[in-house]
Amino acid sequence: MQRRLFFLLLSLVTFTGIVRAEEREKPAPDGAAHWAFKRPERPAPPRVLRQEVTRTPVDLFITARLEAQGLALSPEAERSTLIRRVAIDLTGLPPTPAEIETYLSDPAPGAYERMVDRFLASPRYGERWGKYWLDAAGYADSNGYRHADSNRPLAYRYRDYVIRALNSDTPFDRFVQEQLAGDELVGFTPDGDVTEEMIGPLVATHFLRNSPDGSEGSDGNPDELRLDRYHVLEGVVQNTMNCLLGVRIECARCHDHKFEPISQREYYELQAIFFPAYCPEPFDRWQSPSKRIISVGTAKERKEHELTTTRIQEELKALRAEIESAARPLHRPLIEERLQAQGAELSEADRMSVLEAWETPMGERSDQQKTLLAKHEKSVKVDNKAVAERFPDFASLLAEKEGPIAALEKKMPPPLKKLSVLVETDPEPLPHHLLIRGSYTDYGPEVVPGIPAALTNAENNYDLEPRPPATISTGRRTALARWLTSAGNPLTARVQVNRIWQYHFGKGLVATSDNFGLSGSPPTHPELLDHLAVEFIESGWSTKALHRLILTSAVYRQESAFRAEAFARDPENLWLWRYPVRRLDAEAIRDSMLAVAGTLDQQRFGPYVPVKQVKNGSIIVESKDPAVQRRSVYIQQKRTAVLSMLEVFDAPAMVHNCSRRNVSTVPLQSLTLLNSGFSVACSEEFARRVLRQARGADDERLSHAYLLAVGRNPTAVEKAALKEFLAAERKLYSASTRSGEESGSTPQAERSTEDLVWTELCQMILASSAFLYIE
Amino acid sequence: MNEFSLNRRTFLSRSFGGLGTFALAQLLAEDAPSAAGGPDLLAPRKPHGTTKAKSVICLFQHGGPSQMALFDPKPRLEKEDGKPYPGKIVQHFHNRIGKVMAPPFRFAKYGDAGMDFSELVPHTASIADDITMVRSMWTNQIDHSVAVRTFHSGGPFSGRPTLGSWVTYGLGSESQNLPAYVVLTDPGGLPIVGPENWTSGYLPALYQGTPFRPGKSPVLNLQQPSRTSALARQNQLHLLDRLNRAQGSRFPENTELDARISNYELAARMQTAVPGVIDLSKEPESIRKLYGLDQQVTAEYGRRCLMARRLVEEGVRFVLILLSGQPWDTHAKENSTLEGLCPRTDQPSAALVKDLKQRGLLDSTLVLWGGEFGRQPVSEGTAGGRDHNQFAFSLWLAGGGFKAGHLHGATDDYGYKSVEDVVSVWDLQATILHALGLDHTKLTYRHGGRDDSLTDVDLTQARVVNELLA
Repeated sequence: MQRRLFFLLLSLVTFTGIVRAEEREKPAPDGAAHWAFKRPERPAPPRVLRQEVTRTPVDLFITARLEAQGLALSPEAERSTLIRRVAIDLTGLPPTPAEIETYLSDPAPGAYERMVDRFLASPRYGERWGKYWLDAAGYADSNGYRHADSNRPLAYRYRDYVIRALNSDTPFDRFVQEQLAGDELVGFTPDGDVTEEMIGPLVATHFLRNSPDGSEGSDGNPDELRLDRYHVLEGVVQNTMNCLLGVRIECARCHDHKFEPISQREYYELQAIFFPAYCPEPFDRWQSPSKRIISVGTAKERKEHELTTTRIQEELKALRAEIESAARPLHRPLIEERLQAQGAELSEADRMSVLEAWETPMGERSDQQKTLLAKHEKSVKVDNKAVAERFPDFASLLAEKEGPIAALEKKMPPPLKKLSVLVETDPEPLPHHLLIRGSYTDYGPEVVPGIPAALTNAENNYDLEPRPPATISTGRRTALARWLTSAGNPLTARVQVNRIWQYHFGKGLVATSDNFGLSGSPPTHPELLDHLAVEFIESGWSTKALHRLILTSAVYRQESAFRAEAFARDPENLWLWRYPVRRLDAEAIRDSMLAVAGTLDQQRFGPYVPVKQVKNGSIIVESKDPAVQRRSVYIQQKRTAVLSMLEVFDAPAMVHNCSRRNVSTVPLQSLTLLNSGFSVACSEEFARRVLRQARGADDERLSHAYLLAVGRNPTAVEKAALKEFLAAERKLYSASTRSGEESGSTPQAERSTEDLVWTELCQMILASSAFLYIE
Repeated sequence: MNEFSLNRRTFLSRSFGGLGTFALAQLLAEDAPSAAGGPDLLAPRKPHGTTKAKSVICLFQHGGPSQMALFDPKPRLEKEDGKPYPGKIVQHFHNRIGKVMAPPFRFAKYGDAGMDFSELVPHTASIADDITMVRSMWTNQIDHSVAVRTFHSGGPFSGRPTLGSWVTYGLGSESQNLPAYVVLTDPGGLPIVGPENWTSGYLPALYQGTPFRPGKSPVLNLQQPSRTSALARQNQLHLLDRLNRAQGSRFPENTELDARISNYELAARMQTAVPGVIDLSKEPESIRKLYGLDQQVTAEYGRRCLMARRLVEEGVRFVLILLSGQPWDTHAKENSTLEGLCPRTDQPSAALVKDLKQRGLLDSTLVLWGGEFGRQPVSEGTAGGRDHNQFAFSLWLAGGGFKAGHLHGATDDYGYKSVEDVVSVWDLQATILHALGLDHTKLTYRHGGRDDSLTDVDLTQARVVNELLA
């Protein structure tokens, strides 16, 4: 009710306010009173009437609100429902029959908690929750910049870093610190060592590289270059503030923020934190994305590697030049012979013109000459092999050099491991300025790095220590990381626990999970939010402990069933009187289809699986690519080309970052599940798996199919429908077989009929709501 | 009647209690069995009043088209060009107020009403006798995302249903084979706020717009798998329907599950219907020329306008055509931006009106051309652009019961504020609904503890502007 009232009031204010906007100067937004800018304190757990239905403190906070509305929690869901809910929530994949069996046959107390722990420990967990973080961090495998959108071949290391960090439950404060200032934490210097232990924190800084970066894609017009570079700096500030603090700040670039207590100067103070690494002007201070790369190795190793590589390359070059100079004089005689061999077909004059064309340098050839050469392509094409076949002397020279060349190539050291990172390399970074009205050429007063005053407090200020001598990095990002992860920060923990709540319940306690500012929506359960935030910090920022806290609550474990009287009071389920029915998100749908088909490729980590646009415009992974069945998180996240199968189910096309996903229900999704090649391929494999693994009668096969896809047996109604379908299909196909073959059906045909019937059945299971939703 | 439909009926009478007596009666009266087992939420419904308009094509010009450069000439701007503006200006970027800035484009009067058009829009000028030009619009939002939401959904927040959803909710679908609400997106990408431009918000999910892709394949996956015969597909859909109904019966209030059921049926019918509708190759040369399909600058937008006409002919209720980004947002270099953009949309938009008229479809089809707000009479800084203006903008409507050749309202001498016969964005919404026979005060849906509506009349004082209607 409070929230609605708030909206109503807010809209009243907005509406009436604007009518008279001309006459009134709007007061500056006041941050001092805003709940989210005050440090969270541990609230006293509320008293509830029905203590017995609660399991954890989370339940107390939820139940208190429910009771105030005259509502109550729903009863606990069945085990088969719970394991599917937990498995898909935590890993993005349905539970396997073995996992189901383990849980269902565990009679001891704590079976549920043990089941949750098993999924939390699964390596699949990081692939699921890593993707949510990557969304929030604005991760993409391409540079953006409208249609240019060139690839980012090394970004995947950051994706892998995130997955690993989640799987090993890296404390969230450390996780954030590494992403903002991993280079400074490990003492990186441009000429210093990059050891194996430094790789993780260095790769983590790619968080600050996630912004679109078109500075390599533009045509070099100075206005455009300037704009493109500033866009990167702006994107970094926007991603950082939005992902970590839930503050939308970008409006303050041109003027003091209208809705948030953030001045234009404060905006530029934030930019100043990143300015030493992203200095748009003068132009020679800028590094384009493909240059922001470092090699792994100690300084000595890197030096040696360079020397060795250069030496070998030079020796190879010399050997190849020797061969080349021996071959070159033989090309013309060879071509002449070939032309002569054509005899009378080719006149002397023609022969001469071909030779003349061939000798004309490539760029100077006339169109006529090009046509002529194309016509005689076979005759004029010469390589060392062809020359060696005709001239034995050259052949022996070639043979003589082959050995040394191979030996040198073998000696060539493998390329050093490359990391795409954000580091500071400028020993004397320039001061940053406020840009008047956001104009890139209109410098205002100089600004020093800082944090908007509304977000700081006496115990937690942005504290920049002087740069130690002999270091290059300014420490500005370390100071930011320290401020962000201090227990006194009002937003960091709240934003993260809200994000986790959102992905468990479909909606955050703060519905606008990307906006905790004055213009965002207030929390439905402010005390619960603060309780979780304080717990999170006090647990040592353990994300897995937070999941456990939420997942073991009665509110998470309740049924989704419709209850008329509760629905009448709270149709939106704002107070969580039941667990919401939720559609799987894009990646979970695709990955679960592969898992059910039994073809999910569980290979982890490594370079992205490239996407490709085919003729009809859809974006696919080539079916002959051996990685076509890998998890969606490993598929290229290209900004302008999101895999169609994922896009149709609302996977974001990354512009900046994505804190929440749209959940649409459109017939295009139905068409995808009915007709796409992916859907058909999965159903074929799913059917084969069912026929292979369950060899008994239809009943057994149907149960097995349902167990794989939905984690339970089909209900009586479902079973009746499935069996009628089987009967109708068999009739259909036997009729068509009879009409097609006079000799009657062969065992071969019968088998393929069964394949077909089951494929068509399995496809419908994968298209059904029972599969697409969790309850 | 089985137990489930009883449930649903009880559910409807409870949760749709605030639907307005009209809609509830309609829903229950048309209690034809549908996939979901309840009333068919997309069954065509009779409007509140008698009316000609049945469908809408919205050519949304987001970014804030410059009214003084297109439709609303202001001699005073020329006279005072480069001088300080005498009054006070509320701007989005309030510290960038420049000098009075006259657009360099020549204006002339067209049609019986002597409607003004600049040389940027010669084709729109040629349909002056068919349109209502409103020169006195205003909105209460000055920033794009909130103003765009307000234009489509009446309010600045996410989560409210858009006009197309309300119309579909009020009137149902005339087409069995196509989505009732189709969105034709731009090859350059989505506009600001993306899918929120066609969201059904808190209305049932069935009423959300279905985006068609730009380019040669507007809808993917229309081909049935080669090994699945037509009869087998029927078996499949029947099975799926039963499975999904079994699932849905446990969540009778869940409109998303219902929508998924209906969408499978629709998808199957789209397979046959869509290829024909989107195939423009059969259109005669004269029509292709009319829409500018023969010229590079107009071809893309022209294709979408032509497709919109074909969709409406097939019974689609609401077509929304979008551009990418915020193309009309001329903060800088307004003149060259307009010179680039106007040729793209001018001829196809006018062609759509002409074509509908020659087919006798203009009475039943309402065409709306306009953006979320307008622009300032003064320059913004020195870059030759104008800032947003919520107090005045122009847009035009054609057909659907709106007056033909009518010029409505006026702005002050500078075009800064609408001063005569002012039309708010909610008035416009109320009037459009009225033209479709829907009463904006009765077309409500229970949400957030109250009967919410597109125009939220208590808050906005929206009224039907009868002077716009024939």
